[in-house]
Formats: sequence, C-alpha cells, structure tokens
Amino acid sequence: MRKSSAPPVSGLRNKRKYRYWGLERLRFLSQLSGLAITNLYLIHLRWLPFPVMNCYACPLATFACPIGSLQYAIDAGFFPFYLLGVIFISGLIFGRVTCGWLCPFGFIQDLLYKIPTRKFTFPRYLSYGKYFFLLIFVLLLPFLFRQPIFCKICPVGTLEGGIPWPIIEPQFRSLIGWNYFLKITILVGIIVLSILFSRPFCKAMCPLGALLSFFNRFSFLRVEVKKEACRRCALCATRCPQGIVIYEEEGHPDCIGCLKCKVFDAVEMKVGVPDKLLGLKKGVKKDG
Amino acid sequence: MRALYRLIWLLLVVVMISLTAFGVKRGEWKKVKLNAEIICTSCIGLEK
Repeated sequence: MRKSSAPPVSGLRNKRKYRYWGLERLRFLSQLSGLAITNLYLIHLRWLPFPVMNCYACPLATFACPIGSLQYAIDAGFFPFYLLGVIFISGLIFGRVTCGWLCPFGFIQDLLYKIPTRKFTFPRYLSYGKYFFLLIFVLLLPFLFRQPIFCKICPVGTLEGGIPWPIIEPQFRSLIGWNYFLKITILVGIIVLSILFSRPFCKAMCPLGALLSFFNRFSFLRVEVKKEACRRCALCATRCPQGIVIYEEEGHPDCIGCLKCKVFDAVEMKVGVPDKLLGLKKGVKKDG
Repeated sequence: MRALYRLIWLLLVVVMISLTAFGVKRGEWKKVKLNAEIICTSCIGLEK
C-alpha cells in the first residue's frame, strides 16, 4: 500500500483555493441535505426507490432502498420494470453524481476520512468488487435462496436499522444473535477502512454504485476534460478521492462527480444531452 | 454522428420512462411500498 500523495490545497493559487473550498462547501451542504431528505421521518415516500444507499429499515427513512427493493422483486418473482426504470432514469440523468452529492452513507464515509491519520491509496483492482457484490449477492443468491442476501451483510442496514431498533424497541434485543454480530463486525470494518481509505464501501462493495456506473459515460450530468486546456500534469488525479486520472479515463465508472478535480481549469461539469460516448476516444496529446 | 448520439440518448430516456410507467400500471409501486414499510428484522441482523 502506498501513501496518498495529495498536495496541500494551500499550495494552489488563491483563485483555485477559493473555488475548491466553495465547491467543497456546496457539496457538504448538498450531502447534508441528502442525509436530511432521506431521513425525514414524518414524510413516507416508500413507494419511491431513491438512488442512494439508505436502508428502509431505518426508523427515519423517507424512501425505499433500491437494492433492497430489487432483491425483494427477485424474491417475489416479478420483473421490476418500475424499479429498474427509476434507477436507470436516475442513471441517465445523474450518472454517479448522486453518490458524490446526495448519498448519506457516502457522506458518512467522507466525514470519517476527514479524521486526521495516515491515509492510503485504495488498490484499484478491488473496485471490481462492487460488480461481484451486485452479481452474486444482489442478483444470484437472492434468486437461489429467495432471501435478500445482500441486506444480511449490508453495513448501511446495520448502521441505520440494526443499531437503532434494539435501542428503540426492547423486544428486538432478544433477537440479537450471531448474524447481528457479523453485521456489526462488517460495519466496524468499513468504519475503520473509511478512516484510512477514501470511500472503501463505494469503491469495493456498493451494488448501487455498480449499477449506476454504467451510465457515467453518457449521463446528462458528466465530468469532462477540456482537451485544449489539459496539460496532462496529473494533478487532478492526486485530488481525486477515487484515484482516477480523469484525462485518461473520462466517464470512468468509479467517478462520483465530486468535482474535487474541478479546481484545475481543464476539468468541467457538462450539463446537457450527451453527443458522444466518453472514454472511447484517446485523450489529449501529451505536452512536449 | 453527434445528432445520432443525442437521438439514441433521448430514445433511451423515453424507453426508461415507458418501463417505469408500465411498472406503475402493473402496480409494482404498491409492492415496493408494502415491502419498504415492513421491517425485515433478519435483514438488519435481528434473527436467532
């Protein structure tokens, strides 16, 4: 494991520094709003699978969890037209921007990563893990065993449902068994990893991120590189929480649109109907 | 070529909206709602 080599923001020019903190503040507020909206308690819109990781077993939950609902559809034996339609419309419009700007669990991981300690770079090959969890734990195992298998290991459910319910309702305490401790162990593992690595759950485990990642190349909101302005200095890669070299990998499946790379002039957030598939053409020419 | 990409994208959006509307017509939203309102204790680790 290599130590992260992100340069200090103070090293940037003032204009960039203000732009960086302005965007970061805006994203923080957006994430805070995401946390509040998905946990309103009084308003129940549980017919709507909101495209973020937020467990509907949470006593405060406003929306349905798309992954839990997908497993339920597989378990109940109907093809989820409505569910997939909502998830895919969200993907076509936002790509994975919802992960970076609205997801409550992503927000919690971002906060944990702010704890000052030694930071590490997440191994890139582990980012394929989310496709494994999507295929095996969300699609295959629920089909074979007729049970929501991913929910049984999901740390979001433990944090938002597993911990609050035994506190609120004493009768649930008698149900605590080995599965509960397994879930708590997974949650503690994710919390510890989130302090050391940026968003480990999103990179290696999130099946919703895996589903939405397919839309990053052609979503309405997308991160693009202004080829004439890019000098391929790779400074944007040092700021990226996902470790993406954006000029080489436009529309990368792991890009959560956090815009930390926007601090450099060559990166922009495009809004509009896409007129090309990102990432299929070669990037800009190398300087010199 | 650019216009073609735009057209395909818009077509995809129309297809997805149709999918959603078809699902709503079949009453899938009610199933999703019902499932989301029942607390699955085993899903949050509360099972012996």
